[in-house]
Amino acid sequence: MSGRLEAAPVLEARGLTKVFTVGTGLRPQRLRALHDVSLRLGKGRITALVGESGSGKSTVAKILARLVRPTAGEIVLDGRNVVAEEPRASLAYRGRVQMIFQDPFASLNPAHTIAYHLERPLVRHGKVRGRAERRARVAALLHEVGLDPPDAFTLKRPTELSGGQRQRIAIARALAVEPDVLLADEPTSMLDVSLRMGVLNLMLRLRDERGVALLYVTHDIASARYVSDEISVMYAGQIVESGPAEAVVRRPEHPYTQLLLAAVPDAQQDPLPLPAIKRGAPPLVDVPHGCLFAGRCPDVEPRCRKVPPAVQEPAPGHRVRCHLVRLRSPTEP
Amino acid sequence: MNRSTVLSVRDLHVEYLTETGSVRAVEGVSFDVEPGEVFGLAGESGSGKSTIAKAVLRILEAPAVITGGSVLCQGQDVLDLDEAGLQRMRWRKAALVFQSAMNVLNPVMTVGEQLCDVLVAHRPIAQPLATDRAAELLRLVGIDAHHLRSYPHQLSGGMRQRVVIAMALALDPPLLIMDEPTTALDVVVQREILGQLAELQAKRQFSILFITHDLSLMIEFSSRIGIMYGGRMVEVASAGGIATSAQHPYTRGLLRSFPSLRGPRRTLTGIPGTPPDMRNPPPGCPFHPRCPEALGLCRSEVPELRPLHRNHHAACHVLQ
Repeated sequence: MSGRLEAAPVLEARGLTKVFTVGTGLRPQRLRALHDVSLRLGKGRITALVGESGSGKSTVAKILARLVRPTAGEIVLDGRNVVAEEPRASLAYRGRVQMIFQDPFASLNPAHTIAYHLERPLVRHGKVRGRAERRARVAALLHEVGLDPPDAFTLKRPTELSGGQRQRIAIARALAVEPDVLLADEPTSMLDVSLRMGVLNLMLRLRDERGVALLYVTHDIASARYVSDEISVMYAGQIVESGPAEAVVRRPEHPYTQLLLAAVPDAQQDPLPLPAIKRGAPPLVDVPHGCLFAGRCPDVEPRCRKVPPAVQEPAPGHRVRCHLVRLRSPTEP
Repeated sequence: MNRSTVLSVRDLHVEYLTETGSVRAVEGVSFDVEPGEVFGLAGESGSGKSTIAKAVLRILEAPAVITGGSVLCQGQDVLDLDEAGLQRMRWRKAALVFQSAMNVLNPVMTVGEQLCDVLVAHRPIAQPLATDRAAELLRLVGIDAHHLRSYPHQLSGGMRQRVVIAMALALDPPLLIMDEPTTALDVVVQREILGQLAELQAKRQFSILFITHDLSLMIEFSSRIGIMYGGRMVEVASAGGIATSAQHPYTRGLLRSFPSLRGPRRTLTGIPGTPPDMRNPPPGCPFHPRCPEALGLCRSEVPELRPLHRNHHAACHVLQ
C-alpha cells in the first residue's frame, strides 16, 4: 500500500518551514507555523492532514496551493521544484493543483450565476471551444458532483443554494481544469451534519473515478479515518505521526495522537479515558529546542527536552517523531 | 411532569415575523428537564434548538416572538414574568453558556472583577467574601485562583469558556443551559471541559439543557435526548435508546452521518436532500421530502409525538 505511494507522488512537500512575523511596533514576534513538513500526495490516494487549530495544517494546504510562500522548503511537482522555478503559481500549476476552501458561503461570488463560476476556469484554461461545448462541460461537471438535473442549477446564484450544494459547486469549479491534485481545506466543517457524508463520499468517488491525488485537511480524525488512505497528524507545525489510516487510528504511537484519539466522542463506542496529559497551547513563538510535545508528554524523559526527536518507523510506512517510540508497547492489538 | 421538574416546556411556539412573512421556528415543542439530569437537544442549523434556549430565558430578539405555549422554570411560568421577575430568574434559576460566550468577557476588566460583578449584582455580599467565592468558582472549573487578576486576553479560548461556565454557576442555579458550549474549541479542550462539568454536575446535582449539533458528543454527555427537525421535536429517548435503537428515520439518518473512530469502518450515506427552507416549509411531516419511507399521509398530516414504548417517543406516521 505504502509502496505504491512511495513510487509515484504527484505532488510532494519537502521540508516546508514557514515563519510569520506577528504583531507590529517595537517587538514583532516570530511565529513558527511550520517546521520541516514533508508530505507526499499520490495518484488515486487521499491523504488526511489532521490537527487542532494552530497546528499548521491549513498553512500546508495554502503553501501547496501557492497562496502562501514557504520560508524554506520545496514543492515538487513531477520531480521539479516549483518554488525555485516560479516565484508565483503559473497558470500551468493551477491547472494541475486546485484548492477547495472551507467556507462555501465566501468562496463563491453572489453576483454571478453557477454557470459563470464553472465556465470561467474552462475558458481561462482553454478547456473548451465554442458555446455548445462549454455548456455541455458545465452540465457534465454539475452531474459529476451530484447536482442533478444540471439545468436546475446553471442559472441560479450561490445565495439560492444550500451550503452542501455550494460546496459541490466549489468542487465542480476545481474539477473544471481537470487537476491532478485537489487540496480540500476543512471542506465539510461549515456544512450541516446530514450533508457532510455526501461531500466525503464525493471525495471518495473522485479518488476512484478520476484518480486525483487528494489532500484532506481536517480537525476531525473520525472523518479522516473514513475517507483517507493515509493520515498525517500535526502538532505545533510538525508532522508527529503519519501512516496508513487504520494503523494511525488503531495503533497510535505518538502520545499526542493517543491524546487526540481519546478525546474524540464516538456514538458507537464507550469513551476512552483521557491520558494524564498537561494542558497547554502548542509552542509556536518561543519554540523549545527538544521535542515540541515534551512540555505536555506523560512519558517525557530528560533527553526529550534537549534533543529534537528524529523520525522513526515502527512499521513500514508508519512514521513517528518521538524518542520513545520503540520503548512503548502498542496501545491496542 | 413531577413537582420537582426543573424545566417544563409545553407546546411552545416561536415565530420570526419577517418582512416577507412569518417563519415558524419552533412549533408545538414539549419536554421536561428533571433534577440532576442532562437533557440534550440535538438538531441541525435551523431546527429551532437555539431558539428554544433563548425562549426559556426570554432573551429572544425581534423579530422572534413567542406565540404560544408555556415555559415552567421551577414552577414559575417564565412567559408571565415582567422584566424585574426575569432578572430575578436569570442567573439564579437558570444560567446560559453559549458557543461564543468566551468572547463576551469584558476586555478591560479582570476575570475576578467580572465574577464578583455577577455575585454582587444578585446577592447582598461583602466584597472580600465575593472575592473568596470568585476564587472558589475558578478552582471549580479547573483554573488557578491567581487568574482572578488576569484579563481575558491573557487566557486561551478554553480558559475563557471555563470562566464563563464558572460565572454561570456563580449563583448555584438548578438549571444550566449550554448552547454549543464547546463547538469553538479543540477536541481535547472540549473533552476536558465536559469531563469536569460532568463531575461537577454529579456532585452538585444541577440539571443541564445541553444543545449541540454533534450527536456523538450528545450521546456521550446526556442522559436523555430530544431530536429536533424543522422546528419540531421528532424523537425523545434515553441517550442509550437513541444510540442503539433510534426509531425516527431522521434520527437514524443522523446516526449514519457520523463516522465512527473506533468501531467498524463502513460506508455511511448521510441523508439525501437538504434541510427544509423554514420560510417555505413542506406540508405534513417536515422530514417527508428526505424520508426514504414516507407514506402518502406524511405529505399532508403532521405526525404527533407519541410514545412507542416506555420513555421512547417519536413523531412519525410510519412508526404508528
